[in-house]
Amino acid sequence: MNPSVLSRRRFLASGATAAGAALALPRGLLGKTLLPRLGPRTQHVVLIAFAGGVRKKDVIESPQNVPNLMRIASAGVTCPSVRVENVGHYGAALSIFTGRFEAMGIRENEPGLDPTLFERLRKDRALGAGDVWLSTASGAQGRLFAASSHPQYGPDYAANVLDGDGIFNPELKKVLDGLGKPAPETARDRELLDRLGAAIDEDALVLQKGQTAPDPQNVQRVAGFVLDQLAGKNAQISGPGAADQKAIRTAADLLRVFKPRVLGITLQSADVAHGSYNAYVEVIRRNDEEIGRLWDAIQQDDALRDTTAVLVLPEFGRDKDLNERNGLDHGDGSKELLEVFLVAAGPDFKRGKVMKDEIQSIDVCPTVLALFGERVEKGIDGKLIRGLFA
Amino acid sequence: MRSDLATLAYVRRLCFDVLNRPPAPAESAALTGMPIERVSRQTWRRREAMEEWLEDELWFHLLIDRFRPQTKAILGLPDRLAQGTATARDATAEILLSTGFSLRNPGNDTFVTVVLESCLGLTVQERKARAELDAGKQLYDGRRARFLGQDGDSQADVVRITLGQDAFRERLLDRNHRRLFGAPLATRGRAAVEALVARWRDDESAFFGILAEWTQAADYVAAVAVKRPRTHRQLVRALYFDVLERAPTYDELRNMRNALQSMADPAPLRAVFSKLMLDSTAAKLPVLVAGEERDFVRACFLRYLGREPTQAEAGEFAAVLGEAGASGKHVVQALLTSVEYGYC
Repeated sequence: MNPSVLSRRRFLASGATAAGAALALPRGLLGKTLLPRLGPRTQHVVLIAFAGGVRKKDVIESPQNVPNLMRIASAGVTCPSVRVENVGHYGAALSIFTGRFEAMGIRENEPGLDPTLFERLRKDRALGAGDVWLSTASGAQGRLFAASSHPQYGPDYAANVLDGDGIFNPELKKVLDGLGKPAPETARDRELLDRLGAAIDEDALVLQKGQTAPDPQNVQRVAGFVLDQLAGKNAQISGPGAADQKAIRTAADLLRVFKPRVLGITLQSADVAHGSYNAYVEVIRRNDEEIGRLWDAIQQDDALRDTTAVLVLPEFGRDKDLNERNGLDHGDGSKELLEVFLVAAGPDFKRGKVMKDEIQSIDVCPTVLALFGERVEKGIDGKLIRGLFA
Repeated sequence: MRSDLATLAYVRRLCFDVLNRPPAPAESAALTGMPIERVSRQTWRRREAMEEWLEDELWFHLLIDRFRPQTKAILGLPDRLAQGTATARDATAEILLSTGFSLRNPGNDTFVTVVLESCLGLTVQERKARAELDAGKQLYDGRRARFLGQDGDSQADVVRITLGQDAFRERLLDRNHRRLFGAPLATRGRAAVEALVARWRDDESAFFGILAEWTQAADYVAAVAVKRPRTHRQLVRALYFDVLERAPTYDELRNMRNALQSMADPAPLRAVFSKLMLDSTAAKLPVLVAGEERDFVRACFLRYLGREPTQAEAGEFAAVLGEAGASGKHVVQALLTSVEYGYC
């Protein structure tokens, strides 16, 4: 770890945390008492960062915009007071996955310093590469949610990442179509290729210290998935929020095909709000529709219905008032900006409840880890959200 | 073989570093065994080397997609660089003064900030740099001011004065050093860095000569044994050259590279691209002659992985090839989708 970078960022982060804590309501008994009885029922977690900056006023306080999210809420718990601190998209969304408020710049193009829940679960719970996925609409930064630069975690424990918009787009489809139609791969082809692949001497590849090669089996499974997706309809989705839609649809397919233990989804299109409030609401509605489809797909899948937890929260809200373009920025420090919501439904959670306690966006990470039996205190500032559990 | 003669591994690494692609079989045959100094010099002199260097610079300055400059001056740079009628500094000036750069960095504040940050490594929020930013903005707006210790009154002066700084020379050398060695220039020690900067300052055309010397040096040759992950550009170009025996068009390269960027691990997408290319009617694959399976396997290992197969590999590959339904295409696909192919 680079100590100078660490100290600068950690300084900023701790300053922000301390300032936030001063404003916070009492946290009650959170994190101080014994863990609740966490049933082994939750086997899969879908964590949706409804990011891009979304106010609760336009979501859970406007149920007509999000009928599907309200369906999920009625099957689980709604937390209407979720405090956030960082108001840059990247750092704020990353905080959800690391359990710490991350002081990262809006255009930062480096992974964070704190391990994400993906890495923790892969390393500490020994989940395989195929068990942990991230479907993102956040462009190049989206990849950075998959793993940190933490020396004990990092890329070796990264989530598999798919940025649907980067792959399933008409431009790439045109290039690939120009190569011709792929020949179907027979079982015999696969058998021969597997034997040849296995025969290649791994020791012939001498890598730099710290580098590790990817797992060939995981590569093969993911390649098959991508090939199927390229032949599907996701490449044709267009219009406002298309990137988000692709991320959620890709996630639904990932869930169907791989049944991952953890699936993160990061959205981004709501940020269109800077220029247009109406377009922002349109994105919220389209995303709600897609989340509804995802939820229905889970409910219709015998292997997922009774074992899957879904958590949805924005990384932060937006300003209280419209800007001069009839849009909404994110920087006024208002309650609308710094207080968002969490909707969580799953086999270990209460049903149809609204939590009174204030929580923080960074509490989601340790709560997801707890669903897998991990009680992590070191390196995480967030606390277990006890009020969710039945 | 004597240590100052180029091995196949050296030729491949050099081609990847300078041309962003593997050598064609004919190039491997011609260059392997030649003196390293000659291989390095010849490779750097190629127009393709200058084209790729320029593409990497455009990528660094984020002049891609709609911002990619298409002017005659920019398009003519690889020829001029290869002929020695333009220098690395001239090329950088053309880039910074292109319409694409101005569109990407519109207005005096953004333009001067980006020039100072990307060319000199200055952080404009710092007080000292803030003064230079303000002066640079004046020049940009056509007003006379003193910028980085020199007078000027135009946007072109912002660029000219910036590129005249030793800090620019050091940064550009550093970026290329990282590309070739995977380590910052500073690892050579302060005195060596200053000597290199002074050499380039005294001889405007010295830049590519320095790079050529680096790729002949013992530390570069020794590092060839340790593999590095291919960049996305190298991955796409390698697939096109290895399977279709041609360079990708700009659109092909751009869209495939964008897709590779969308995944933390590019290996699965590389496997997809490999399969689509191998299934294409345009694929040009080595011919498998019955009874010569071992020779075919050896040729494929040398061509696609740049090394001899081990005895076990040769045996198993030949055995598989002898089975019903197996073809040369299976061998090529197995090599192109192998973990090892992702490295150079």
